[in-house]
This record gives sequence, structure tokens and C-alpha cells, in this order.
Amino acid sequence: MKRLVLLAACVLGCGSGSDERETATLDTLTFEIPAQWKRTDYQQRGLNTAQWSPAENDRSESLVVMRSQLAEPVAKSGKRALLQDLLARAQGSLVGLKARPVSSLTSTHGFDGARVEVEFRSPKTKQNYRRIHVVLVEPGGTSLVHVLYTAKKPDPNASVLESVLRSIRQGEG
Amino acid sequence: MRTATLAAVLGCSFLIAAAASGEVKPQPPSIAPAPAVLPEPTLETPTMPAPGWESVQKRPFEPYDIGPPEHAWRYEALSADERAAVDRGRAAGESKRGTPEMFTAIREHSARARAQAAQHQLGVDALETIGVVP
Repeated sequence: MKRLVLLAACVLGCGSGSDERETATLDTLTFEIPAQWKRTDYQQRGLNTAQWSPAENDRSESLVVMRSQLAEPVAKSGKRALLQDLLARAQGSLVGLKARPVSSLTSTHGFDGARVEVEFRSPKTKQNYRRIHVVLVEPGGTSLVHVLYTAKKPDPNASVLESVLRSIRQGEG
Repeated sequence: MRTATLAAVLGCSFLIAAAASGEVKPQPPSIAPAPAVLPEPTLETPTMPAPGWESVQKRPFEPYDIGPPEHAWRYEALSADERAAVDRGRAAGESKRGTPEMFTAIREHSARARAQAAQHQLGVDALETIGVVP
């Protein structure tokens, strides 16, 4: 019995759904990320991009947050329909694409945006992945924030993504 | 008299010697006069075709006019070899109209271009590689 309890605790502690979170920042944004996930920063065509993956990554999961100031005209337009249309069309370059309809959302801290869930085949690894791509407009319409959760075997609750959407805000802390 | 004769002989000798010495003063080189500049041979009026002889500028991608319809070569009048050549040309023309594979490729390319344009407007690109972990 004691072994079973220890095993259950280990499984819960090692999974991506662990409750232990830490605060992360990207430019002027702050949000919560699982403490066990490791961060990698890189420049994606002049955009500050941060990617997190769990140390034990059996699901091939990743979470990417990008802040794009290049899309200011779209961000300032304030048109949800335009954002949804662009997000849907942007997925068209993915191979073997299966997409669900785009939906709109508003984050806990007032970021309006759009969300789409897709399945595609990676030309790099030749394997299928599922992804939830969320685009948020920063309050004030200065930039767009992309949050992408990608995995071969995704967490059905996408708890990491939901945690970011609940916590993402402007400013430190 | 004798003295006068001697003087005359000496005088003549002096004159002959002076002429033989050939003291010639240098002459400046003669410069040929510059030829007169001829006027440019242009006509006073621009060249224009005579009325009725004007040529029409042919549009480059239009076929040449064959003239009256009776000048056209009819397919029925061709020999077997000529008909075979015409048939090959028609077959090539048909293939240029497009195959299903070509239309599929065009549709895919078009979708990719639209996707890239949308990604550009959203300030993101390379969606096929972002966050893909092996």
C-alpha cells in the first residue's frame, strides 16, 4: 500500500500537470510556467521567443511564447474577425493539416484573442503533432502575443497552456 | 683695254660663283588649306511612307494574317505525315492546359502563399517548425 502511494505521488509529481509553478517574463509580459519545465530563448526573425519543455518529455511537449511588434497594424485594428481569419489562414502552410474552427477568447487579464487547434505532420521529424495556437492582442494594441502548445501526445487538458492564459499580464510580477 | 677686259672677266666669274653657291633662303612650309566642312546629308523633310504604303505595327503575340480564307490549309487536304505532325501539336497543346497533378500543385502553392501572407501579418513564420520537439 505504501509503495502504491509513493508511486502515485511520483507519477503526479513528474507529469506535466504538476501544480508547482514559477513566474516567467518575456519583454513586458509575465506569466506562470511549470517549475520543472526548462526554458530556451532564441530570436525568431527579430522576435523574442521563449520555449519551454519538460525535462522528461515523453509526450514531446513544448510551449512557445512570442511577442510580435511587427504586427502592430493588425493589433491596432481591434477586429476580432480579422484576427480569427488570419489565424485560420496562417495554418495553411502546415502539411497534412486538420484544423478545428477558430474561436475567440479573452484571457483572465483582459487580452482579447483567437484560438485554433490543429493537427499536422512535421516535415522535420516526419511525425504527427497536435497544436493549440493562441494569438492575443496586448491591451492598447501595441503588439500580438503568440502562445503555442505543441505535442505529439498532448495533455488533454492542455494545463500548461491554460495556466499561461490565466496568468499572462503586462508588467513585472 | 686689257685691264677692262680682266675686270669684266672677274666680274662675270664672281656672278657665276655666286649663282652656283646656291644660297637659298628657307621657305616656310606650305600649309594645305582645310577642306571645307560638308553639311550633314539630311533631307529637309522626314521620311514618311507614301500614302497607302504605311505598314502597321504587328502585335508581337498575335499570329500573322494568312490572308483570305481560301489561303488556309485545311486539315483534310494534308498528307498522312502532315496530319500526324498536326496531331502531335494538338496533343502538346492539350497537355499545356493542365493536368490534375498540376492543378493540385497550384492549389497547394496558392494555399501556402496565402498562409505565409497571413503569418506575415500576424508577425510569425515557420509554424511548421516552431515548438516541434522530436
